[in-house]
Amino acid sequence: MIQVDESVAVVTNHDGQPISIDWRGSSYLASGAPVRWYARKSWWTEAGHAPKGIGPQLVETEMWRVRAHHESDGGVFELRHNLPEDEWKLVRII
Amino acid sequence: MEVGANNLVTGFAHLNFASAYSAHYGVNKPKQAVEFAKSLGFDALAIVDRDGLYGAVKHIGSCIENKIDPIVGVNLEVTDGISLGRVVILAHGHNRGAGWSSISRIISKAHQKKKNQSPSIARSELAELSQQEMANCTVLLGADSDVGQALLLDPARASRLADEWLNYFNTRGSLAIEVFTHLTEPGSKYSVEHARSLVSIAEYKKIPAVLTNAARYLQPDDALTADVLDSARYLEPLGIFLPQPNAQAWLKPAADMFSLALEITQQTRLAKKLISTTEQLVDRCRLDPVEDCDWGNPKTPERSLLGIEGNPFEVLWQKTHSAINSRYPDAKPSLVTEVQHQLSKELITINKLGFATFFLTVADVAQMIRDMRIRIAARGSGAGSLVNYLLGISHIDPISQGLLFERFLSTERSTLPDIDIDVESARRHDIYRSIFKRYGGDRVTLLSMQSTYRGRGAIRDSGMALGLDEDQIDQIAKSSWRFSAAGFRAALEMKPELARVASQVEKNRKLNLLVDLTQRLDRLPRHISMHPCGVILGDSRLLQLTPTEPSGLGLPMSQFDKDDMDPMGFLKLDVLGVRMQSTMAYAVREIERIESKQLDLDSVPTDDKDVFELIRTTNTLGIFQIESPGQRELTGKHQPTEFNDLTLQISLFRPGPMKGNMISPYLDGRHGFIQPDYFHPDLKPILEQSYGIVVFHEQLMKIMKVMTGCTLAKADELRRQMANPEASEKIQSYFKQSAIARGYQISVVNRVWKVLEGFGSFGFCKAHGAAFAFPTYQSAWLKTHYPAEFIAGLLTHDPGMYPKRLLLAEARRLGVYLLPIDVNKSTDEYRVELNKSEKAVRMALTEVAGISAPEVSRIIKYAPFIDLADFYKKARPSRKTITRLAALGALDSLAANATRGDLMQKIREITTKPAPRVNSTQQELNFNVVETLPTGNPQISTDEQIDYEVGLTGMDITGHLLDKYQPMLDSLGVSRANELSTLRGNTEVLIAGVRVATQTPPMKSGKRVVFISLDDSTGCADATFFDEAQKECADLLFNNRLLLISGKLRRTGKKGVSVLAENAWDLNRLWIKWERGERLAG
Repeated sequence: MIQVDESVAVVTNHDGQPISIDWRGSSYLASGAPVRWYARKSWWTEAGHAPKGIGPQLVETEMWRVRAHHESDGGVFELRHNLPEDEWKLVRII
Repeated sequence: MEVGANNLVTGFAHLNFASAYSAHYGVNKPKQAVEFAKSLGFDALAIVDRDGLYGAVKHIGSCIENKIDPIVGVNLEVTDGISLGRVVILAHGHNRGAGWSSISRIISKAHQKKKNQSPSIARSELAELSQQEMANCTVLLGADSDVGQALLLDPARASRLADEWLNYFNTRGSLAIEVFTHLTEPGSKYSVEHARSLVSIAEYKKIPAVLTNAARYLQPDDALTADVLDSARYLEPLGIFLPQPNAQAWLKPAADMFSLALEITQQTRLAKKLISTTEQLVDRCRLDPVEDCDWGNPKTPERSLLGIEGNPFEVLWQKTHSAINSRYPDAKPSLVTEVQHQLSKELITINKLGFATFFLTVADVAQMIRDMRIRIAARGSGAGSLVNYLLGISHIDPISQGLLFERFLSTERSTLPDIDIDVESARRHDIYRSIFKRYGGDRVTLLSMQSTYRGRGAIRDSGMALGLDEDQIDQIAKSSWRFSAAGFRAALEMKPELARVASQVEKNRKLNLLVDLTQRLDRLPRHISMHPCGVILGDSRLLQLTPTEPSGLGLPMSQFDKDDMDPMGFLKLDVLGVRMQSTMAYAVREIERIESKQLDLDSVPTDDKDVFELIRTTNTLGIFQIESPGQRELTGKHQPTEFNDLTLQISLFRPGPMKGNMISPYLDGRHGFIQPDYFHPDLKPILEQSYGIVVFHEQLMKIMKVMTGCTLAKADELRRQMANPEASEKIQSYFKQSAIARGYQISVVNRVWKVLEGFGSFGFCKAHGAAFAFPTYQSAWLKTHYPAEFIAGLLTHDPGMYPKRLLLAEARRLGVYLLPIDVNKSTDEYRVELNKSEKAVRMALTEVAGISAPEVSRIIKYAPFIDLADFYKKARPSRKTITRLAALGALDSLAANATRGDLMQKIREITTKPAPRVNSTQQELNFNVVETLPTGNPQISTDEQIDYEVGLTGMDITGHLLDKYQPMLDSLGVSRANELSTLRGNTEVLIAGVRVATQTPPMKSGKRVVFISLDDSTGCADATFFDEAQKECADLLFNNRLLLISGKLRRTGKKGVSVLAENAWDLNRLWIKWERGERLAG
């Protein structure tokens, strides 16, 4: 397992599933069905506002596990999808 | 079936939603949830609160309103030696209440625990209560059950655990697997895999599986509120405990649920099966409120329990008619006709509404209370009913007092009326127990209430969740008592006194967050507790219709609150404990004991001149409702002469009329300073009693009736709606059109409407006022005719706002002699004794500081004592107690001719040895105390005696604290409180006394005004310190007991006076100077 924590460019299909990940100049293509889950955030240590209606992004963040390959390189990529910025981070490779 | 905007829901519904009534867990109230579910197109919704049906009635009510089917369940912990985790239990519907009653009994059983044990039910009991011949409930084993938990670690064990459940739950439909996922990290609890394993075990064991979302809020945004509630539940800041995994526990639309089914099962066939099994269970659990919960159908104890045979209405007719003679003795024929006419009118309404048994039930309880020889009085609008008067529920004659039945009950409203009864506070719990005994524990429970988050509580719990410093939270919470949590941020911007907090909030991230969290918690239920006075009475099915849990009293309490009573058709009685009732009951018992005669306080004439004479002196200390400084001042100005004046005075002295400046025009009219304005001759009979001012709801109703021609019942409906601005608009046009049609001038109509419109917040129900005025009159009657017994009652039951020593001063003023504490004569109550054929009050033992209840009861048990040794052996007082008793002179009767000093010395000697035990051989130690009492010690002086009394009982008993200063006061020319009313206005005066009350009411100007009441043994003198006068002496006003005040006399009415203060001094310091012969300055 390699901890990465870097911003990456991700292309998604119309269901929001990642289909390719651009990381350090290489494009990794997803294979198989990616898995999505939601991880918790500790909003009380970061947020300055939590008015009603702000949405779930203070509490949780969307996570993906995608099997992806570039030529012979590859593995299971764990991605964090930050909303509402729509920013992707590669957390680690398993 | 309703169709949503984009989705067609075909019978699928959420079977597991926890409402905000799952305290510190759920986020949304049932009404919100039902409306949300409806907007998503669902045709049913289940409420599944933790440990109870706390939100169930509100849920059903909202479902009926929104035309969807209610489903009710509970989330409970199950045990079998060890905890088996939490499960959901859903009641089946359309089975004539079998499901509802099963779930009620399951919950009641789960709450039958020792104190501080959380509710849970044994699996065997759950199995027994949820299945008879067939299943009445379905138990759902989900991720939090033992099976669900084991699936994560040890699937083989999960299989064995499932078999155990199957052993207990073998009827069809009694058990199901609850499948849900909150889309957590793969492999963890609540993950898709976890849900998938639940589907697999259901398939393998052939247990039906249903899909839910185990929802605890409606929308993802609410998850943040849930975090704060979790913190309040765990009593730990966020970050310390394991929080909810994410924000997925929301009420997802059907389409999302169907996708989840696919994601979990990964097979269309299994997903379809999961959904269709869910739909089947949904159908089985749809409740029919009427058939299953007996919704809205009034329930009363069975007739046989009320001693009724035959038609209840006929019984009511009989009972009320036969009471006319005793309630209206010697009435003129015209009055009898009026009474009969009114009675028929009321009986017709009661019969139409089908409430005859209800009235007979309340009458039965009232009779039971009277049979216990406990005082009872009706409070509130119920006093407006002649039926209540004739049944002995109320003691106020509604006809002579001009009260209206329609204000209490009418066919325009069909809800069970509230009849509130006041009883002696000291006997309230006895009454509860007797009600349980009389009607049986299966027909009675106490009422509960839900307290909700308001400003302070919300700030405290939000602050704790954020881990803020406790002092800091405290400081903010304290400064925030005038607004709701929801308005916190707005208040920060608006209120100048919050400027400091506001600037902190700007700079501090966490404080800023605190404001948002506080607003999120606003109005959410916090916890359930016993309602202070409500009792629910039902028939033998009561415990099948409501779950109960233990109350602090040990008696069972319903999980439903007062708002749930009407929908459930439960009869709620408010039995309110009132200390003044205990006081009066005690006084009456003392009168009967001392004078050996019977006294019926409820039937003394209400036009006794001497009573009003006493009230007019403003010496109203101890009299119900009119003893406060403000009421005393008003009494001086008002000078009441009859019962109705008391009703008016009590109704006027409230924040509404005071703010609306209604009191001055009323008084001006009364004293003839202005000509009352009656608007129109037709209104004169209605408004004459209050000099043209509309004081009572009843007056408004009558004006409506006269000017529009509507019925009184309709008039009351209109009155109720007037608070709503939209409705008020409609009522205005109705009023004006009808009045003009009836020939009233437009200018009159407009003027009257203006008054009626502004009346809303000021008006008072006259029946309430009269119900309050009755004990006011009764207590004044006792004070007038039996001052000793009344003072004894006041001292024993302490109903008022003043310290007891002021009551002693009042006793002295009334010429009631006070007898010191004496172990041979005192008890735990203030007894009236004949002292040289004069009535006197003996002080009670309980006033000695630090004396214990067992010491008091031993003294009462073994009294009288022969001598000190006898007392010491039998009463076994602690060293502190015997020393204090001796110092107070309570042992003087054991000391023959010895001085107090001698006695104290002896006690010091004997208490250095251990106290003798009754059964030990030490008892044989023969010391004849009297013979060996030392001699030569001085007798105690009166001043010393008073100092001891104040120190040890807080009261000056032997004399007044001011007595010793009298020579100085005389030489200074200080006026006595009772002389002030004879002096001219603007006279320069000096007053002195013990400070008994200090008030600093909030003023519009923002400047502080201090009101001080001084007691000088002749009465109370009131002084007012404005800004200027406070400069010299502000400290004294709050800290000193004995004060001398200079100022100008101000007359506030015929008998009312107060001192406009200029300066104040510490009486003790003056005394020291005076004794030294120094000149006193000023």
